[in-house]
Amino acid sequence: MTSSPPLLLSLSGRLPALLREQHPALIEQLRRVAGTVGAVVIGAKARPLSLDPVAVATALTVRAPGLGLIVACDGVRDSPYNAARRLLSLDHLSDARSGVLFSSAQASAAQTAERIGVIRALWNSWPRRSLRADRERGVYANTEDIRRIDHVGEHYRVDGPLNSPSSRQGEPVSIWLVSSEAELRAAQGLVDLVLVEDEQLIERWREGDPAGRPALATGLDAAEAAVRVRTVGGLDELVALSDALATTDTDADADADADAADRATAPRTLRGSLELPARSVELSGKPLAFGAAL
Amino acid sequence: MSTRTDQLTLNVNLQAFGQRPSAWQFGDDAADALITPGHWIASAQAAERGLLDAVFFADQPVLHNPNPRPGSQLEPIALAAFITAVTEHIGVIASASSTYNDPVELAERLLGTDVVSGGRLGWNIVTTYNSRVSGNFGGGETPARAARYRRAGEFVEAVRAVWGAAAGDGRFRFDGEDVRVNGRTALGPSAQGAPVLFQAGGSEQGRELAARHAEGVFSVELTLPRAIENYAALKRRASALGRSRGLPRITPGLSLVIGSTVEEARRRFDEFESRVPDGYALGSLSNVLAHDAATLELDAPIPAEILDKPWDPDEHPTSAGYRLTFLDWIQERRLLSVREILRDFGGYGSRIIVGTPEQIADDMELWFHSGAADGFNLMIDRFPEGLVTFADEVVPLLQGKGIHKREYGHSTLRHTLGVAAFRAD
Repeated sequence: MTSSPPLLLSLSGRLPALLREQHPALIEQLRRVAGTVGAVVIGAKARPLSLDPVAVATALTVRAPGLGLIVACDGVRDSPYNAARRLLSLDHLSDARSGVLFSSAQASAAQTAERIGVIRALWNSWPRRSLRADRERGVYANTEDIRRIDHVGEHYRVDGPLNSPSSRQGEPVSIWLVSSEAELRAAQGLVDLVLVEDEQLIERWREGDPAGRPALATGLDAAEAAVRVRTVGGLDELVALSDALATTDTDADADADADAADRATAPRTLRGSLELPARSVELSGKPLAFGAAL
Repeated sequence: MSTRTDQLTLNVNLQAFGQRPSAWQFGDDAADALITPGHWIASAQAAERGLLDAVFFADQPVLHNPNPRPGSQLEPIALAAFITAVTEHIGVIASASSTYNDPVELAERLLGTDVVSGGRLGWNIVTTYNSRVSGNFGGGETPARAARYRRAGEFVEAVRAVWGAAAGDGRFRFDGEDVRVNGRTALGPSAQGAPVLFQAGGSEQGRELAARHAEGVFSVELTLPRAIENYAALKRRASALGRSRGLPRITPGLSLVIGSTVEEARRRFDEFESRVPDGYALGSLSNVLAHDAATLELDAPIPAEILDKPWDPDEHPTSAGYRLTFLDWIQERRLLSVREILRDFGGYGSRIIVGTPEQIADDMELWFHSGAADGFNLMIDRFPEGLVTFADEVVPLLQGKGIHKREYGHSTLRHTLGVAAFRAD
């Protein structure tokens, strides 16, 4: 159904500053591309921070409805519990059209992988299927679906569960901005996409085991504008983050059929738009947070 | 009665489905309503229709059992960015803990959100005493009240240093005993400079923090005399520290169940209560008594040795300020049975009025003119309907008394509240 891979747009130059101010002309541009690009990436390579990625993205859920929103999360001075909460809150408010661009800052590949793993486990700890609002029995949620994550690792110790139910798209889309072989290895099976700039790493990705291999995105450093948008007040700096979102062997037709069925019941999720498979963390071996339902 | 010329500061605490624990059982809200944009749009727009100054979000970074009462399911600062985007005037005051956040990360997140909101954000600084929370943040002992508040005071100064730097060359530095920060921010100031600072918590340490830093205070006051005393004491204390006259704005919590007659309001209240499982109110009473209320005889008064036992506010496991005002309130009810006390105790942590719009407006006017409050943090039985009723039935009466605005005149929360622009220390 799709002829070219979905695009992720990262704003460069003076555009992040305009985004922070919610500049009307830029918002108008984004509204127009909402149906044609996969998502806009907010806050990539943004240290020191000139904007708050979640705040900007959350406001865009209102001002540019339907736009896919990917927010940067580098873990600096942050805790996985707080990060998991606000990222999932954005996901709910965007009606399941959000994702996260993880990166390492100064942390090791192992620490970033642990952080991503904890955040993803938290996103799965309170399944939305547990929400019942059964007024007859006076049961709001079926607590036998809610589990602690009881994570004890090298860098983090987190009990869970998260106090936000899981996303309509299962999990927000997860992307790792990978810059070393160690990170590329650690990303295997952990995230939906890796974003890679280094040619050698892209080669390593091609050689990797396709089982559990994240899809590849590239082009963050590209100078050329791969998507031309009509210039309004000189706002022609929309730079394509990825003009080649290479996905591993997917059956495009089957996906398209499934998507069509999805769309019949609910608006398309970002995961659906990017043609990414469902993703979850298995927690059935973890203890129940509150025991069985009433 | 005073001759004050200012107007009420009115905020509403947007608690999940409503302040009544059984609120979710009424109406036909979907089970996932609290994570759908529509619920928040309807509640925020009802608040703006009533010309309220701000909506407020309490917060605890932990999941409590969603039965029988579901709590908040979204992070308040993200929700603030959403609500200010779907409204034009109303502010949002989001709670965030100084115990389980980093001061620079939180300062930048709050300021970045304030910028996006057009200067309509407030931050309610809280410290966290719930022992289950620490398990989500590496485990370890929950720090004692004194240590929590020492960190909170330094935390606020560090946050203000970051906000001050955003208005200047970006460089910040603060060296405290517990909190040390040093770095550079690339954020600039918001339309109101930086978020408005609120404080909640009535312990001695909480009041010190409020007197020194807060522009607004969420308090718990159950009786008028104690409220007047605490109001005057806090204003004196702030004034002695060189704060501007009138600061901080003091807004006790006020639970409302509104009916067009007293009987109708009581019926509405009883209907909500009839759907709450036995033991819910007893659990809430246990927290403030520091005694398991389930062991009490329902048809007898609370034994004097429980009410009069000596206590140390620093060691009380839950809110000390709430216990102080509760002990006053209970004095007039020493002879009532536990069952009768529970009926009056229906605010679950704030004063409650179950009555008509006229009673509510008269009561608010009395507290305002008695020097007991600058306004209120409203607790509404069920959203959005209870808030729509407040906007349509109570607000016109308050306007008639000249104590509530007739239109929004300003664009930032600081302007709306009448507090000065942010100034770096």
